[in-house]
Amino acid sequence: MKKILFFLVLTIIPCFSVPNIFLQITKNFSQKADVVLLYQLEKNNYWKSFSDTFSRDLYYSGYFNVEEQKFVKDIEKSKSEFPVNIIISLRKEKGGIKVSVFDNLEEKVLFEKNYMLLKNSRYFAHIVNDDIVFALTGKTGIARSKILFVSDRTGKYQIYISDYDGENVKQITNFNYLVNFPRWSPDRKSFYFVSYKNGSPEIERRNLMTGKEETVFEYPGLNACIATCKNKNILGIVLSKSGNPEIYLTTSDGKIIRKLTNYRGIDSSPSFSPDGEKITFVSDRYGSPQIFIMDKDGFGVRRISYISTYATCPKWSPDGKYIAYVILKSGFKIAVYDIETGKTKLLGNSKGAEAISWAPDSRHIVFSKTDIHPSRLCIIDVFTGETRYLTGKGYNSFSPDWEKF
Amino acid sequence: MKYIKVVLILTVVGFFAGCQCPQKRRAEKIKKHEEAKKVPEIQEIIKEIEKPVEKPKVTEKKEETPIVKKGEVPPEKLPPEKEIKKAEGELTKIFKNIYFDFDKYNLKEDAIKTLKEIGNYLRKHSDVKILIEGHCDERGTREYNLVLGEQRALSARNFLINYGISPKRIYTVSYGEDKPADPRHCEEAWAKNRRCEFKIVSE
Repeated sequence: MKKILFFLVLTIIPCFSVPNIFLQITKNFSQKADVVLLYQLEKNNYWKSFSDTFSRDLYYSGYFNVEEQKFVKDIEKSKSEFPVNIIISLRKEKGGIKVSVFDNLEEKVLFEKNYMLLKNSRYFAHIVNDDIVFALTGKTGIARSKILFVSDRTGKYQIYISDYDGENVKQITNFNYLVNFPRWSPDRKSFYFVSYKNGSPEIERRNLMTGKEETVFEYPGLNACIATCKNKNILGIVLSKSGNPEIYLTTSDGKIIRKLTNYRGIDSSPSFSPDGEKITFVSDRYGSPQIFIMDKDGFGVRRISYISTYATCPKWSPDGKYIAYVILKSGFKIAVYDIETGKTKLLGNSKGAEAISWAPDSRHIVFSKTDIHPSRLCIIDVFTGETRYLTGKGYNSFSPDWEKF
Repeated sequence: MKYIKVVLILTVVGFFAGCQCPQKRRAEKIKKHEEAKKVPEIQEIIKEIEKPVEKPKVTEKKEETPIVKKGEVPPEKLPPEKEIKKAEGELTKIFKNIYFDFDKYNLKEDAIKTLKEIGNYLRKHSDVKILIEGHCDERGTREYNLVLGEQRALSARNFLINYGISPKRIYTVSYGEDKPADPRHCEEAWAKNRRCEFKIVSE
């Protein structure tokens, strides 16, 4: 009997073991997995462009460090050169491309998938990268995501869209009136924005594909601070139609559900928790702008920011675990509040942060860096503190909003 | 014999102990009655304290009957752009900019002085309407600054309303930090940007 039990236990244990790399790069976020890329493919323009994008995507994800990438004649032979690495290989197979991730040390296949070849090599690289990131870490990849932002490079504020790596920047509006604060709609087919078409700030929505525009909120006074909620047709906005700026819960089509705040000072900048049950916002009810959380019915208000006399722009992370916000402490910086532990971490490398937006992986944040002139968009890794610029020099870029999946 | 005596004595004593004289009885009764009256009061108070506090229900307010809080006057829909003009000539002396401290929307002494002059002019010329623009300096979050600018404009408007000017004559708009008076990046410029500007609305 004891022998049977012993063997049962032995067989069950492997079921609980996870790939080494999973543990390595998700438990200790500052550690990266070293990978080697092998391409058993023709070194033409398509694959050169693919490999540039692919290796950069792996690095930008935050989880990987590309030690080497090579175009080889035989993947199996070349594998022996890297006996302890994780090898990502691509080869032609059955009319498509086979992508494999092989842990050479453990001699285990971590991921394998056949793809139909896509026309756009950069987009193909993004798709493969996101699949690998998800398979190895369980977190969503960000390579195929896009960022909306505002720039005045044409002399007027217009709304632009960029790939997450700064490529493919396109101007998507051409208004002759002031616009600002683009916000992705939850289905990512449209975006909301604030427009001064009729002289005062109103909220409009525009379809990215068709360009069709509609006015969603045009009350007298201020209509602004659009917060969207994943999988729900609700918005959080700020209206001053009562005579004072207050936060309202509304439908995504322009109907007010209820007024959430009732304080005679400033209440602004709402942001939903991913389940839509709670809202974080800014209020100066204690004398200066601080961050609060309330239920979606306006009750249960509690303060969460205590480290500065100025705290604004709270944004709830897509995984629901953090609220990032901007504080003033020897310059403007990003603070990240951990909801479970109640601890707040200051991101030292985020100096000059003005407006922030989370990436869909709840690990990266894009912010407008305004201590340099002109201002630029910058992306920071919340766990490692690494930063990179998203937009170029020479013109102001601000008000970013990162697409969420 | 002794036994019977003890029993008799005990009975008599007991009889007297149990039976009180009528006056004393009445006094006792009154006292009991008063005490009985008091105790329920205290109990009522305790009940009140222990009653669970009900959350006030938030009902959707109908648009036809807006509830206006004291000191909060709904803003007006803006007139067409072509009717809005800068003050010219003599009026520039009255319709001066008013300035604010960083992150503040309370009216300073100078601001109140200017607003009183504006109020006096508007009292005299009852056909004149104005637009108050709220602005901020470039520091801090743009979105928050848009709301801060609105609050600054509404502060100035509320002062004029309390001064006797009809709300229908005062329009407001916020531009946040997006229309600075001085585009430089220094304290001198920032001080000039934290302002309300006044424009004349002609119809």
